[in-house]
This record gives sequence, C-alpha cells and structure tokens, in this order.
Amino acid sequence: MSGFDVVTDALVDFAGAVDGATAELGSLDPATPMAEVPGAVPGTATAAAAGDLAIRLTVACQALAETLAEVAGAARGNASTYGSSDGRVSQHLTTVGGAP
Amino acid sequence: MTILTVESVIAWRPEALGTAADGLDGVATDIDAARRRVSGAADSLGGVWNGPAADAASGRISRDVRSATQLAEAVRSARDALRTGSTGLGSARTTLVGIVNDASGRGFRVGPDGSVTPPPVPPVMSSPEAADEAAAQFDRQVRAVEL
Repeated sequence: MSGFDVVTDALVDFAGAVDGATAELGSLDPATPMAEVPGAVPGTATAAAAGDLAIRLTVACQALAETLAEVAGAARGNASTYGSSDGRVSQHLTTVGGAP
Repeated sequence: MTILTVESVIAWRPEALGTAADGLDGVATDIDAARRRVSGAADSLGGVWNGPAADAASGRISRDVRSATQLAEAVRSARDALRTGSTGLGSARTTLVGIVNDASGRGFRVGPDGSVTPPPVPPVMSSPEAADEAAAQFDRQVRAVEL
C-alpha cells in the first residue's frame, strides 16, 4: 500500500496514554530508596556504588520519560497535521471553480 | 572509600539495604506499568494508523518499550544486589560482633583499628623477681589471718 490511513482521534488518544506513562516515569525517583545506603554501610564499596547507581537509574528514568514525551508530542503533532491538511484540501475542493 | 574500623562495621545497618531493595522493587513495578501502558496504546493504533509515518512511529515505540524493559531489569538487578549485600554485610557484621564479644569476655580489649590488647597478667608471671615479693605478700596475709 502506498497511501496511508489514519484516525486522528486515535492518535490523540495514543498521545494521551503516552503522556500518562511519561508522567509516571518522570515521577519515579530511584535515588530516594537508595539514599540511606551510603550512610548505613559507610566505608564499603557498596556505599560508593549505591550512590553512583542511584544517580544513573534516576537519569535513565528521566531520559526514558523525555523520549516518550517526544513520541507523544509527535503523535499529537501528526494528528494535528493530518487534520489541518484534510481541512485545507476540503476547503480547496469546495472552492474550486468559485465559491458556491 | 574510608578505612573500615571495628567500630564502623559494628555501626553498620545492613537492614537498610533490604529496605532500599524493596523501594527499588516498587520502582521496577512502576516502570513495567508505564511500559505496558505505552505498549497497549501502541497496539490500539493498529488498523487505524497505517503508512510510512505509522511504520516509523511503530519502530520508535518498539525501541522505547525495549528501553523500558531493560531499565526495569536494571532496577531489579540493583534490587537483587542490595538484597545480597544486606545478607552478606549483615553476616560479616554478626561475625565481627561475635568475635569482639568473645575476646572482651576473655579480658582482651579490641581497639577500633582491630588491634587486640591482652588482659594484664599478674607480675609474678611477667618478672621472676616479682615472685619473691608475691610469696612474701602471701605469707603476710596468712599471718594476718592467723593472728
């Protein structure tokens, strides 16, 4: 198939669902449960590694949330583009040869 | 990393690692929930969005879903490491506390750096000339009792 099919409302719904997942991921903070580890076992390699890992996991959650936010934005943008293009074509067709 | 001392090891709270592990378990569960939400939403687009843009979006979403899966796995790996660490460090602490208590019970003093000082021995055991004085002192005590 060379053309395309699209239900723009479905794209908007998809964007909304991804927005929800983005908010969930963005609110995750792996650093909080790990915050006590360095102080609980001071002087160990575990303490140092836990501090580093907490930062890495938090950054990874934020990065994934940002990536998904882009996907949601793209889906919403596509829905808008499809809709406005369809509107322009429709208007063009109805005015071809002069307004009725 | 600071230098470990007997005092610092005894002050460890390995159970905090278990608590942290439980917290990470919740984080992994939340990541899975978000992943399922995205995956389900993507599935719902099948049949209502087709074409080159839809194909590109599908590939992108698949990669993001895989990333979410890998992130949840990484968090669970950290959770498991913390649980293992809680057990291992807790065992090491328990062993050390037992050794220190045993030594203290026998009169030894264990220093913060792990050095062990034996209990003081009677002078009679450390210098031969003290033996005569010890014997004289004993005799004086016996006579005091007899008088």
